[in-house]
Amino acid sequence: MQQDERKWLDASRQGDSQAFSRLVGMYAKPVYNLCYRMLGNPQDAEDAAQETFLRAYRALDRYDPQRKFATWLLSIAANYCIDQHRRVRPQLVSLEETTQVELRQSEPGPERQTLALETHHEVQHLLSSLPARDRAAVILYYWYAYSYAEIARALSVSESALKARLHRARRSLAATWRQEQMNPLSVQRSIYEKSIS
Amino acid sequence: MKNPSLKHLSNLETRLLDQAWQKLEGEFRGAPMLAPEAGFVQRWEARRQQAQQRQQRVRNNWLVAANGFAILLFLAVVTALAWGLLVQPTLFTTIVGTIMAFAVFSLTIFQVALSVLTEVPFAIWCLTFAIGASLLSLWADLFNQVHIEKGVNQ
Repeated sequence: MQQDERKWLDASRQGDSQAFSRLVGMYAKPVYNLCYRMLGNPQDAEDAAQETFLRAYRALDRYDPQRKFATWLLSIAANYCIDQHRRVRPQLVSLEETTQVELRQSEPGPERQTLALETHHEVQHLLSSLPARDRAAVILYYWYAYSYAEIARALSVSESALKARLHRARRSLAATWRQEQMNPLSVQRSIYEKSIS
Repeated sequence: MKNPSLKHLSNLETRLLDQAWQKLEGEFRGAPMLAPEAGFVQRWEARRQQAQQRQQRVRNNWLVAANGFAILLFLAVVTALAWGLLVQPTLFTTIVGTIMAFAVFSLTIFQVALSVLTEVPFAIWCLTFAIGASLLSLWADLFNQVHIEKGVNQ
């Protein structure tokens, strides 16, 4: 795997676009997942993932081979999504269309599928309550299991700042979740109001 | 925080948030990795080709614009000169005279530089060259280091 990646990277840097397409196939899922978790809807996630690969392709000559390619790619995706947040206000869109396909494969029975979908909604809703930079840190930490150093480098912050950011994000997520548990109807209403505004 | 009841409330709040996070963390760790719809690579290739074509178009437009501007500038200069010659026939000789004067001036400068080169001993030149080369390599090394650090930080 690592050898293939190195081989394709070298070929891509010499202008072989087919080799880069193989890398796109290899990293489509992690990049898409990050974009989806950041932006919250499939269209924007697809667009952001495509743009990430395009930017990486153009910047290949600036890629430092000492660094892990996946981390470099995800840092481009994270920064792109943070920029998108600055430009446009994210919209809350139904997750069912795209997530059901994925969850159908992993969850056998209808009950478990429904439960998984609910959990998915909850996680995505909680994530959307965080500021973009905190959200990126949480996603990279929980879905990609990167070290503090790798995430800090990807987001261009110091390790101590990252730890503080993660702590703040966890507290905020826990507080939002508790509030929702205590008053679920008002939260449902706020989600609905956000989605129609 | 001096008030003990406030401190107690704060501790309670922290404990409740910790408990909430314990439950939530499991959900976060168990959430699946989402995949794009099938055909992502093909869509990306199409997008890359479109982007390259667009870039090529922009480059061509710039080339056409730059050439157009150069031609216009050339025509403007020729027109101005032709107009000047028509209005004042002695202008041509004035221009040639100016060019000749500039050539003579350049030749004088060149002769002076050549005489300086021959006057100064060869050993001094070698020494100056060696000092210059070492300073240049020192500067290049420093520049390289700064550049690498910048790249890493990005």
